[in-house]
Amino acid sequence: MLKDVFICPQVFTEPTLNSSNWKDIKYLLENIMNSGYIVALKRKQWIRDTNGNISKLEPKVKGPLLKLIKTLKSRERIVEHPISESTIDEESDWLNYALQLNEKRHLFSIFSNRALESTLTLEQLEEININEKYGLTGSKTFTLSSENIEKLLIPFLSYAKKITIIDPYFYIHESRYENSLRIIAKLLGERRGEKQASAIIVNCKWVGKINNFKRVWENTISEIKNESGQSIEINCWEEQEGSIKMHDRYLITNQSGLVSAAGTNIDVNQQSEWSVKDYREQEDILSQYKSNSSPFNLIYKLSTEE
Amino acid sequence: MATCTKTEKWTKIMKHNQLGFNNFKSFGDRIQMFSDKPITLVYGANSIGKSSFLHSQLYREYLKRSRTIEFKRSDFAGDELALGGFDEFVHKKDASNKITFRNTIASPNDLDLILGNGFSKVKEFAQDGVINEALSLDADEFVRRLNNYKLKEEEWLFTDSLRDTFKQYMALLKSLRHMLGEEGFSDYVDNSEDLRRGFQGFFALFSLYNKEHHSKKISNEDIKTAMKSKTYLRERLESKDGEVFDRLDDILIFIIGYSESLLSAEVSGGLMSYLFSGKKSDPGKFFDCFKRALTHLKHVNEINSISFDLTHGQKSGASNVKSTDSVDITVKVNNSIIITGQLLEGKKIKAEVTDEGELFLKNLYKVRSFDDALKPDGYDVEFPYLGSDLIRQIMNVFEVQSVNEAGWSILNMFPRQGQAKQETVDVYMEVFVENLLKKIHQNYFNESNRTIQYFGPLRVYPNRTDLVVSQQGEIKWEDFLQEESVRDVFIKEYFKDLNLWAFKRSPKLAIYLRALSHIFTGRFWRLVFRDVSVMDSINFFNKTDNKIAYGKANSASKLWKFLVSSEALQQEMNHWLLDDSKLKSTYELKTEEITEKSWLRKIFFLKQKKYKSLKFVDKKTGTSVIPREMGLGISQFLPIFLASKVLKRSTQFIEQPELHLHPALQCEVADEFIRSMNTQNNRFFIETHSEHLLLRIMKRLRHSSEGKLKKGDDLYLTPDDVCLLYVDDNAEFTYLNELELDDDGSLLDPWPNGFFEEGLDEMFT
Repeated sequence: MLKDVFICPQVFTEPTLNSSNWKDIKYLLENIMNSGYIVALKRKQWIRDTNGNISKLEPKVKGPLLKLIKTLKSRERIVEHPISESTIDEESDWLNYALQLNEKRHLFSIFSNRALESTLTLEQLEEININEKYGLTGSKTFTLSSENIEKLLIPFLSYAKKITIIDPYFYIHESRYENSLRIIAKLLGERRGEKQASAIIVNCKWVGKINNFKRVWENTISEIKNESGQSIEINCWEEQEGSIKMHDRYLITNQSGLVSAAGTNIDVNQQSEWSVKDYREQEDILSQYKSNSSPFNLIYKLSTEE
Repeated sequence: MATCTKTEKWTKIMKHNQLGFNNFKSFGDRIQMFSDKPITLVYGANSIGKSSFLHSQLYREYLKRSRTIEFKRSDFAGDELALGGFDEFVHKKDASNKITFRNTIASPNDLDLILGNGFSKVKEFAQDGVINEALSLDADEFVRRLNNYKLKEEEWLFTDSLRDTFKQYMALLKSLRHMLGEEGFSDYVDNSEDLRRGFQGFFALFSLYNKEHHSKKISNEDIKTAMKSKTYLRERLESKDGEVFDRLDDILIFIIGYSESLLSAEVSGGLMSYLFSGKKSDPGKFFDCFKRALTHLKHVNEINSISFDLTHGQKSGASNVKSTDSVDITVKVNNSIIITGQLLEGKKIKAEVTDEGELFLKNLYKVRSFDDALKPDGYDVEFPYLGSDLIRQIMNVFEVQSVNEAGWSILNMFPRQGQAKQETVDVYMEVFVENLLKKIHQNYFNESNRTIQYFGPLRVYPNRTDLVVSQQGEIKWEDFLQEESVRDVFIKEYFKDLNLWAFKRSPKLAIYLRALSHIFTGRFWRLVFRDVSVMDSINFFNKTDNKIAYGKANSASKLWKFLVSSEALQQEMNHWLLDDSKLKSTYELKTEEITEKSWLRKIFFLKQKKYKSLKFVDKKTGTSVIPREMGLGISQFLPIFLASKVLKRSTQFIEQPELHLHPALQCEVADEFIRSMNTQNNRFFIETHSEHLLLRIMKRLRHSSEGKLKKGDDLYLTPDDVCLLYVDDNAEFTYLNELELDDDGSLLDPWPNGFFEEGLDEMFT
């Protein structure tokens, strides 16, 4: 549901990009803004080079594209993938690195001025229904098996630095939730083998029985931290009488958000409908799980050591 | 290893100390918490409550200094910030609401201080007559006394038990000497940081062990003296090389002289074992117990949120509270009230430990049986024979930097068996409460704590007199009045702003007013003048304005005099004024010397007095201008720049520093704040809409994480330095949303309603 794409900075140069086809790339970036991200390799250089190229375009093209790049950047939709080179000069170098990544795990698309089997050019983009391929493609319903969940979460978590799990019943003494947490811990910041330790925050509903499982929870998150390097925090919130109930299930990263109708657990006997949550609504959801603004009371908190 | 909270109603496990407040203007009853960091940036929509937040923190500062809860003027913001009466800024203007300020301590260092770890406790508890007296003497005398010290039975046992271990260590020592040679070995003994730390570690353990028998106090100076006693130490080491020590003094010297990494933990372990179990223990079990004890204490340190609330309300009527308003103090652990108190006259605190608090403190310092602790409970512990690994582990667990602190922490867990257990707990509780109150006092009632500087949305222009100093320092008003030329230049300018007829003509009246101002400053102002510039004049006359400071007291205009006096500052300012990457103006700052032409002085051959005046010269026309003639951006920014350069150890509250500034300059302003934080130890609360300011902050974070900026660089910045707040509201209340920044400067939380995406909306919708 989240597409990871690579675009060579040189794609943003004339004559490849011109006043007649610039809207294609604009639509592409707009769609990525909502349902994807750019694996930029060297993020800072990519932004600099891309902006530099865009700046040379004519004003009516330059303004909107620069604004889109800026928004993608601020939404953390342009991500770094560690590579050894200090700088990359040529398009062929950018492309080579992208192809190497592609070999490790397929990128959704690679855009380049060079037409290869695994790349797309702007010319080819003209033939594609951009909204259909790169846009929010509605929801997906599938069985909550480990394989399906993993498939869903790989692009969603690979380059994220923090995930907030919101699920009232995310009780990790139950294996279906423990397994789910383990998958998330495995995939978060995975970056195609260049693992980056990140943070997992679980928000669930407080019930008295949790008292019986504190030690189990403690051992579980300790073990997962040792295995994955992720820091884990669990917050248990108590609903207040007459106030709103904890019901919806979300996975929200620093980049994007997913909503699940039935749950975030692993359960081969259950199906759930998943969809991407609008970026601008994410903070409203998260604010419900911060003490300054939450409608719930924080009762119990558990975390791994720093 | 996981850490688990043990109590209900926990607020937050924090990495930083937190500040909180409630019931202030638009902020309601729910206490709003935020991280206490050097730079706090506050964003949010218009009229959402950003200024209210800033004012709430100014009010916190005001309350530290004031005896009243009304906030009509202050010594740090003069008339520039007048919040009015309590009724006017309390939430919903309902005086029955009480405003509470909360301080929550999360930093392990602060908590250590409160719990009494480290030297503060050594000072309190290390009261052994022999040790303390000896430490206050020179090292030779110290050891002589130790030689005369009669060993207790368990100490003999301790010595005996370590005999074999000592043999091994002495063999190591001999090897070390062999490897390093005599000279190298001497250097090692003289210069090794380990020696000092090893000594500290032992000292802490030994002192606490003896605490029940001690009566005199020891000072930090005493400890330092002993720590420097390396000459004697070297001699002892050399003379005792290879021998087995069988006296306590020898052991002491050995420990003092040997490396923490080799020995201290082992000795600590052995000492602990004998002191608390009274018999030889299986070392594996000992370390097992030890590990569990440390884990427990780590939990105590980590999971207990210690906070204190200061609640300010209307007059309480309590007979022992002489201030006009009531201040109730509540100390909480995990939201359970453990100490209650009141602010008394002179800002002393009267406090009582609640029943709940007594229970908590007793649990915290509960007497644990070492034998019980030795019972195996399934821990599979590898036994680190040499203490080096263990001591590092201890230090890591406690997050302390010295063996000393670790020693204290360990021993806190194990009050000696069979002896005055209850007393021990009571003493700990007493120290806990005392230290906590000291901390509260230190943080909240120390008036000389930090200079406060406030910049409202419109910075006050300096008057002519603000730009003049005498060559000897501050200008003398009498000199002005007596010297015609000076008076002509400055006083006329100065008075022309005043709207009172008398000021226009009569300097004598000014003198008279000055005299009056000594007596009537506050009342006079209230009854007669409503004009700020008039009030400025009176303050100028008033020599005591630092004590009773109104008008433009401590306002930015005061800072200009620093600029007149400092050439270095003038150069920096000119760089800012003229450089193409900065303000790029045509104004250059110059100082001009003015010599008085007093005929009276001429007659008596007296030296004429000299003054320095600050001028801004327009390089295009050669005319000199005053700040208010230079353009809004420049004149509004210069005071902020000045404050960041001039003030040290201050907290600066700035509303909209970016006002009228070019976007590129807004980035530069952010750098000035960071530089000021790092080099001048200043703190900032900044209310802003500036995207550029934040982007520069993020850039510096990134540069610091990438290593382009090194620790110690002026612009080095980490997420620990920046608290990013977004003020927002929901259908019910206004709240602070703290957004987390990553090391590389990126946001880990989505920016509410998009990150400055208005431009995007404008372009695409």
